[in-house]
Amino acid sequence: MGELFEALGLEPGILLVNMAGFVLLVLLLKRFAFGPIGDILAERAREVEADLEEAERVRQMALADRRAMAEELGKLDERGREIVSKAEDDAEQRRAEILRRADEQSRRIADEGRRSVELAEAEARQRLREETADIAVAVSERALREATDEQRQAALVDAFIEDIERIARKEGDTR
Amino acid sequence: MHEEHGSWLKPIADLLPASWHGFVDIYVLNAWLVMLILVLLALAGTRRRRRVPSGLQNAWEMYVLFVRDFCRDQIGPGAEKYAPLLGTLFVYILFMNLFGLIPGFITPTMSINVTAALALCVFLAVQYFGFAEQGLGYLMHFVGEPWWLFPINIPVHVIGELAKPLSLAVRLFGNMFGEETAIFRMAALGAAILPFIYVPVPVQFINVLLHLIIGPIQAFIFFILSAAYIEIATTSHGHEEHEEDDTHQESPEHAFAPAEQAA
Repeated sequence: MGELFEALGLEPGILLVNMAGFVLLVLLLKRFAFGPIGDILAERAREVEADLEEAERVRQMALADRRAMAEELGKLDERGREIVSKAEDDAEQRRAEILRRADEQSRRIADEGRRSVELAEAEARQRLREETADIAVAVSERALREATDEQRQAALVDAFIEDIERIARKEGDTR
Repeated sequence: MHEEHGSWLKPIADLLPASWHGFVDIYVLNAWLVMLILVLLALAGTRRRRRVPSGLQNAWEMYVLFVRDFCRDQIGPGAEKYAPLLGTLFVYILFMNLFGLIPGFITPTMSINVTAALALCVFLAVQYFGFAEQGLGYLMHFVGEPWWLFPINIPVHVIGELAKPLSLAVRLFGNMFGEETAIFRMAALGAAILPFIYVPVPVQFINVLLHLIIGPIQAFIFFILSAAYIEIATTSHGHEEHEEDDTHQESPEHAFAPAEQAA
């Protein structure tokens, strides 16, 4: 064995020292490099995992909020439609009511106008009748009182006719 | 060796008592210096750990992540526990391979004692992990299949198992010793031709560039083969199983075959 080692140039003592040195180096690097770096990496992995979980949680919350908002928006939309629909119904009712009142009022005004016209016409007829009678009486009285000739009677008749026409014109203007 | 005389650590080696000479040589001193540098770098990188890494902490985090991912991908789930061993192995060999490029220092891995020590550590770790993971079932690796061929299989597998550290040690030693020797010879050539051309020519420059490539490659090969050996030892499906099933492409040997071939 010793000859083989010597032939290969191996020295057991140096070999053992080198092995011990390597084992020591493994332990030292494990203590000062691989261990701490492994801890850092593990801690970072945990942090990243926690961040991802937090991000997922926030995302789920955001999704829930979005769903709730969409639901709320739907409700508001529905309510808005109901309000608009009700307002349209109210407006339609008010329009119909206003139209009905206006129609009624116009009809009443027309009736009143027609009645006043009829009344004025009746009054005018009654006054014409009375004035015609008064004129006839007056002409008769005048004819009897003055006992006039034919020429005068014709003049009286003409005057009577003129009076009637004048009254009729006057009545027409008044109406 | 020529490098011993050019090392700044030679005076320290000379100061060592004679009783230490069988335990500490100039390569061990250089290896210890590399260890010291690595420990200091580790301390500097993790002393003030910050949530957002920067500088050395960033580099260490990238490296640790690389090793852990490599272990998980190549060995299997839960293999992160091998990361300190494999990660230390890679960075230690890498630094030692490149250490000789610094003037005044030598490459520790051009000593067979250093590479054999590393290979023996890997060998012992592989056996330990094998028994730790599979208990006595690990011995079935050596029995092989069919079981009644165990009188042949066991010696063959034991020899194969012993050949692993040997190949690891000799491969790394041979590559680095060859590279360093080539650089030294080329530098000597440059010095030898100086009286004739009057201009210093760095004729070893190409070899230095080559060393910059080969150093990391050899470190990675050592690292990847160590991971392969651990994977083979710790998985219950022995290599005998997929010798029967040629279609099983995910087997450890197949997974690491390109690396072994490259090595």
